[in-house]
Amino acid sequence: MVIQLIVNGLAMGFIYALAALGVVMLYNALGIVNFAQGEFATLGAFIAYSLIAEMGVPYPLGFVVTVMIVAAAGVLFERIVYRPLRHKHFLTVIVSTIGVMIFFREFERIVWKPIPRFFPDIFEGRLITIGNVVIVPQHVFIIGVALVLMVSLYLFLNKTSVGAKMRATAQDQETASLMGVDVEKMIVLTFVISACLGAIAGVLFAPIFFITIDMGGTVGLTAFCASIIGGFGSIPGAICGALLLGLVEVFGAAYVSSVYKPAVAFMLMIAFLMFRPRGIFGEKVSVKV
Amino acid sequence: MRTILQAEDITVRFGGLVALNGINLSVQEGQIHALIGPNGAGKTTLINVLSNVTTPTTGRVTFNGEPITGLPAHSATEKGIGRTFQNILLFAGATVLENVMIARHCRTKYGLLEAILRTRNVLNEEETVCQKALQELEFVGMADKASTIAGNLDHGGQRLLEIARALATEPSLLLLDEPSAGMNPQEVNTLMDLILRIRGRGITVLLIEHNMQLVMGIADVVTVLNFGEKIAEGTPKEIQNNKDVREAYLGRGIQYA
Amino acid sequence: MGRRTRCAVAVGVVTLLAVFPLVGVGPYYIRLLNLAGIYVILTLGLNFCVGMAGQISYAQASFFGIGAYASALLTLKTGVSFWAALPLSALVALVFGVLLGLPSLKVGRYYLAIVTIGFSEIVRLVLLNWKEVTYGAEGVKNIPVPTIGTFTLNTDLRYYYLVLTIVLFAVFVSIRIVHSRIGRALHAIRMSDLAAEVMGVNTRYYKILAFALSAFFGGLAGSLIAHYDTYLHANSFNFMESAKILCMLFIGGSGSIEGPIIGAVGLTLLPEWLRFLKDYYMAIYGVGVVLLMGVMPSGIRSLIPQLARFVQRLFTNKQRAVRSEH
Ligand SMILES: Nc1ncnc2c1ncn2[C@@H]1O[C@H](COP(=O)(O)OP(=O)(O)O)[C@@H](O)[C@H]1O
Ligand SMILES: [Mg+2]
Repeated sequence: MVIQLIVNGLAMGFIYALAALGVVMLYNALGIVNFAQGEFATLGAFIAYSLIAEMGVPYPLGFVVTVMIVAAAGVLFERIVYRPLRHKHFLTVIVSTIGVMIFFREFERIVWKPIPRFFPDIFEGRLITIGNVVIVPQHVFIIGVALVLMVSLYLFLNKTSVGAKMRATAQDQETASLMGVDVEKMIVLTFVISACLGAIAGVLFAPIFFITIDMGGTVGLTAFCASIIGGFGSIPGAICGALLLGLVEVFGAAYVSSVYKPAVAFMLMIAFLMFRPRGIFGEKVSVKV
Repeated sequence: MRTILQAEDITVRFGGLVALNGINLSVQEGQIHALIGPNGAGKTTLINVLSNVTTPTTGRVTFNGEPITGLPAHSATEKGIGRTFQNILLFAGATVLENVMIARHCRTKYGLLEAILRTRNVLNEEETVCQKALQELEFVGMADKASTIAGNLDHGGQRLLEIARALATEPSLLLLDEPSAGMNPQEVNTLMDLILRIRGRGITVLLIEHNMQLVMGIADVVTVLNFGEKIAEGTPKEIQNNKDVREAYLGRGIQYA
Repeated sequence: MGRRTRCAVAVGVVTLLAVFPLVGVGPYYIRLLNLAGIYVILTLGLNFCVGMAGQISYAQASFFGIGAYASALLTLKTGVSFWAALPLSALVALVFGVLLGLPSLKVGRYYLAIVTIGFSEIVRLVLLNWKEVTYGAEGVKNIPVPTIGTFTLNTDLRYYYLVLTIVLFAVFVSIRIVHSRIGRALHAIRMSDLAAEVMGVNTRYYKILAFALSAFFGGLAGSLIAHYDTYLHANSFNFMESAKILCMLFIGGSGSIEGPIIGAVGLTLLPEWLRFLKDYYMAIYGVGVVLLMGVMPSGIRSLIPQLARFVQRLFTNKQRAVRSEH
């Protein structure tokens, strides 16, 4: 029982971690928090549903095509929403993001109708049994894919020249641009990666629950909470925060009550903000006069 | 002469960096007290401590004999410590007059209920707010710019507005952080005259300055900071002839004249 | 404008609003006007916190809900009249407003945004699951309709005058606060927290006050909706509802008085005028919000001076035309 819960909790945690990585990368690069981040996950889940369950596209191909389509949505988001607002007031950006959220949700309502969709289990209901421990293969699959992605992302950012340019842009756009980095391109790339991470989280999450219009919103908000708990801006922090939240949600639902599950992330986050505002890994922020 | 402000053993650390190390400072009422030192010496940090914007790691500040360390910044203002900022910090989107009116906040008293009922008292206080704000603008020579948006003022104008705004809080001690930065020589002359007139109103002035002509011209006492330590204190003459001070400046290859 | 003219304009507008629904406006439109009025109160409330003090809040729908539940449960369970429940529920909301104001002292911007989202989610879940008190997922039914003696406010038209009264109260209070030291202090905090503090503004007190006022107005609106619809469900007071109120505020123009009114009335009536868009309305609305924030970040309100100039020119042209005819 406990091992099952741990695997389940870690699987949830890795989904949150993928979304949280998208959030933190955008924040580090541009200093903005994209509250519509979770919508990329919903969109990914719906598109994957249409491709794989309705049109019969093979799972791996459907997965890749979905991520590509959502990446395109990420580019559009950068062009239409982020760019015109780049130097506007923070509140204006927030309200604009609400507009994006409404649009995404309504678009999905029009295309997929407000009916919860059930994504087919690619493992066809098989279970992994080791001794008396029963594990859902989708959970193992999620953990595997997420780990591979994280390692690749790490290698990409730290071992490739494009990754170095992206990091330079995140550090200081002006200096990066003086060093000959095409800052605009790097910003678009950041949005693309962040959208892809959201889409992947959505597709991985889809078989666990119904796909609904609110699905991504919940994943996105939990991802924010995770990054705050981890220490905002810290990538290892976001991952740890996300895993912690996944485990607490699953164990809380099993041993305490599932009624307040949607609030667990928020309560934990508020507790951290009150008692350890720098999070698990973050540094204390101070304002210079 | 009476000590208006006394800072004892002030130390400020930012992580590993010691910005101020055991500073003692005493400011006498009615004087113009200059604080000089190379960039990064800790001057702004000291002003932040004195205006309660920064809480020192150790040490205490007393103002008019009353301890003020640890109080929120607005109570320091209420008690009579006004200040300006090195990196101009105006309400850029508001008009010049509105900027100064906001500064009258701590000299008005009426509360929410009175504001809603708009009692006679409210009307009287509001009239005073407007009058005093205009007076201060007049005092710094900006009465004609009252309805200009603060962000649209030129640099010198913004510095003067900061002073007018600080004066509107009715300080007995005024802290000025590099008021002449970015001003042309003519504006600096006006500023020197303004500071003397402020002192003439009975307001004690503690100012950070890089312009030595200004410091030597109007300061009664000069304190020199370097690397968070106080290295000298005395009359402008004494400071000019002090060997340590020359080293501190020349050693860094920076000329201040 | 002098004091005299301002008074005359105010009396004129109030008279117009009072007479307007009597002249051939169907009950359906009066219902819309009532809802618009309730949203005006909500948006003017949110304006204190977001528009004036610049503190983001995604929690206005929660105060709406808290006020609605407080008012409904007070009348149903303790038997007090609506007239007592109205101010009491606003005060209950105010207490929660103070509570939510506390984190704003420690965190700002995105952190505050997520804290307020968390707060509203927790409030919604409590309302939804605390069966003994809130009737849980069933919702609250049979909420009594307000009465004055034997006169019952049981039609849309009758309720209109109740809503109008509270709207006028909200507008009046807002105007008085904006043009006072309190309004200046809130405005200063929005522009620069630090500068405000150094100018002697107790920023902690005023941030909490801003949240409290937002919540108070939210509570009033909640009480009005509870006794108008006579039925409540916790899920109506969700994140998207708060987002809707934020959009009203910014589309109208935050920080002013006319902005929130324009936004709330406009966005309540707009779907009626755009009925032909059917299911596409909300999607277009979302795009509209994004575009508007891009081209007109101070909201529709920023058109007013241009509109005034246009009208003026129209009049002078007409006069000229009339003159040239002679
Ligand atoms: N909020 C802060 N966080 C970290 N370091 C700071 C902060 N404020 C000032 N410092 C550091 O403290 C030192 C003194 O700074 P400051 O008081 O601004 O010097 P001055 O005004 O004399 O030029 C500098 O090294 C500066 O970088
Ligand atoms: Mg300095």
